[in-house]
Amino acid sequence: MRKLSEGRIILLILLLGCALYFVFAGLGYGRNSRLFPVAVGTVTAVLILLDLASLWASGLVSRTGVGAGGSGRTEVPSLTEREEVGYSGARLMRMVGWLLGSALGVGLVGFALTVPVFIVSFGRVEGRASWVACLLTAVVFFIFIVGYFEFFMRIRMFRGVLFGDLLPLI
Amino acid sequence: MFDGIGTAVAALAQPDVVGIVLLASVIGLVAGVLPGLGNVQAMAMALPFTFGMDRVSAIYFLSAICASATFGGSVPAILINVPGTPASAATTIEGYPMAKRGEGNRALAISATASVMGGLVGIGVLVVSIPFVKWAALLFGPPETFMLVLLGLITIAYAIQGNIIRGLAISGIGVLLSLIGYASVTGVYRFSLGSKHYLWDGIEQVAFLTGVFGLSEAIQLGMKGRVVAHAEEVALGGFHGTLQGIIDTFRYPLTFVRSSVIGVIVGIAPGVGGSVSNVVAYAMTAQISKDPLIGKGSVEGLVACESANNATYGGDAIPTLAFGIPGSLAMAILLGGLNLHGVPVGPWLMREHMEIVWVVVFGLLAGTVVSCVGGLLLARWLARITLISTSLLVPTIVVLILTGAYAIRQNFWDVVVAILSGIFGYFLTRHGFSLLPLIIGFLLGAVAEQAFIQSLHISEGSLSIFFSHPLSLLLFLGVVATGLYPVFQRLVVKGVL
Repeated sequence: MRKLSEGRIILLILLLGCALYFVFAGLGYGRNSRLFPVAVGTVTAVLILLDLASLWASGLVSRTGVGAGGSGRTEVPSLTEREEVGYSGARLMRMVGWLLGSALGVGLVGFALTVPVFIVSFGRVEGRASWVACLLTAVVFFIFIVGYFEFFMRIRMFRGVLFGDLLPLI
Repeated sequence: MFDGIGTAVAALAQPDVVGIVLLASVIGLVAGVLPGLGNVQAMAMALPFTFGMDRVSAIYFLSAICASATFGGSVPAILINVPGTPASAATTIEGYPMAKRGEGNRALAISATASVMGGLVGIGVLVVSIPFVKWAALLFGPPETFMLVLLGLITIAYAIQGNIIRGLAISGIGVLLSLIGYASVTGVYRFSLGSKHYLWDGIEQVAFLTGVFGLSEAIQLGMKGRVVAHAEEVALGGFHGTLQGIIDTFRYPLTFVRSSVIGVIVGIAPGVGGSVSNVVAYAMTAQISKDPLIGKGSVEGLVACESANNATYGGDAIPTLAFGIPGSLAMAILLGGLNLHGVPVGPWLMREHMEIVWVVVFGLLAGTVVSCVGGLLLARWLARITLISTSLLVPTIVVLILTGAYAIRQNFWDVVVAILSGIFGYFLTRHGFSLLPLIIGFLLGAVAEQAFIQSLHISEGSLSIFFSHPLSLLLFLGVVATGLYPVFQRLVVKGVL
């Protein structure tokens, strides 16, 4: 519960930073261009501060409590409140790692190689699925992606920087 | 009222569109069967794949997926006591005991028939409401549009989040994210964090939507066990049970009508969908019914659950199509699809693109019918899909979303945006934030800014324009009333009032 409370506070602080960025960056634009973002950013920042204040005031995140300006309705429960089982920080980091790894794979060697390798490696490492099931799924999706995008839609899928494609400019 | 209907019907007569609707129904059905997935995730994953389709086919595709997942969710709810979607939660109470008695086919037939009939009622209400909402849409100029978006955001923030402050804060973040990039209304390039190329057009909508809805769900699935569901499979019974189930549904016309009306009303209310109507309709029937089998496999209870959750889509579509305020997450994705295919969302949709409204109507109808017929025929095999290992399901979801996100603009950074959006969506959900206010803010933020700036241009900079137009003033009063309602409610609870 305490971890959840801390996590929610950290998330709210990040969102507050995001809202304040829009306010201060917005002040640098002309009148018409800054009016809406500065107004929305300011209101959002105030709302986040109120939510933070209600969390600090209550001392902990209430399961059914009403925050500042809250209603009598039950709030949307967080994942840990809905599903006590299955959460572990290490597992979450592994999942995020898989996602970032897949992006890195696409960037380096493109979709054609990353898709089957990702499916097989995830299936084997995370669930110890059988080689046959992993390979079959990987082949089906490789054919689907190459067939649908490259041949049917005529979209050239990213080949990866190691195979000569350049990352687009940011 | 019927302008544009010819285009929608003619398209549905084309073999390729029929194929697209069939494929969409299968996709929705399978996604519905899989616990953890539903029409929202299926639509999010399918959205990029509509890029190569023409506008009408794409909207048929998304609408059919939207409607077909609900019945899909009822199949495992009845056969293995695991609701495939939240909209089938109450279905387990009556459906599974019937299946345990060896009446699986009968329960599935009741579910399918009630789903089709409920869907017809919902879509019927949508069709009947078209002339009225079309007339109302004509009253909307820039100030009314701005106030409408504001009212939509505040209503959804309250209805979905429960905590209006947190709901509005997250919808504010959605609005701010939508302002990144080139602002057509002022001709200025903003909030790019130093990016000179990628953020010129802002955050790619499809990458963001698919990431927030699809990848966050993939992370959640990956955090769970190895198999989506464990349950004992039950006997289906013979074909006689199917016929009996179809007849049974018509034995409770009052229950069916009452539950369908509940479904439509719940659907019209912003942000709440089949998961609420399914439970509300069942609870009301359980209180009224004299059936001794209620809670132990009652036909009447099952009719109530299934007609309500399917009627909800017609209700959901009314605010979505009339005013661009999505009634549910699925409708938010549909709005994303409309944006992707260049269809303007908001009050002017019904003025300029009535054919799209009819495409949504027929798409929802076709998806409901095809999924129910297909679901009845394939029930035995569909229930087995829940035994798929998450270790294979998760990477396939990830692969579909990443390739789809890339394919829209063929830009590698959209893949990165999808992943970051997925992680962001996961943390928001984990810490009690609803995704709907975020997405609605993101989808409607630019519309709101445009309406706001145009209003100020008309009034030469005076904010009085928002209060001098009668409809705008009415909507503003609605905003104030919705904002003050929680405070009033607290005072009542505390006994002050």
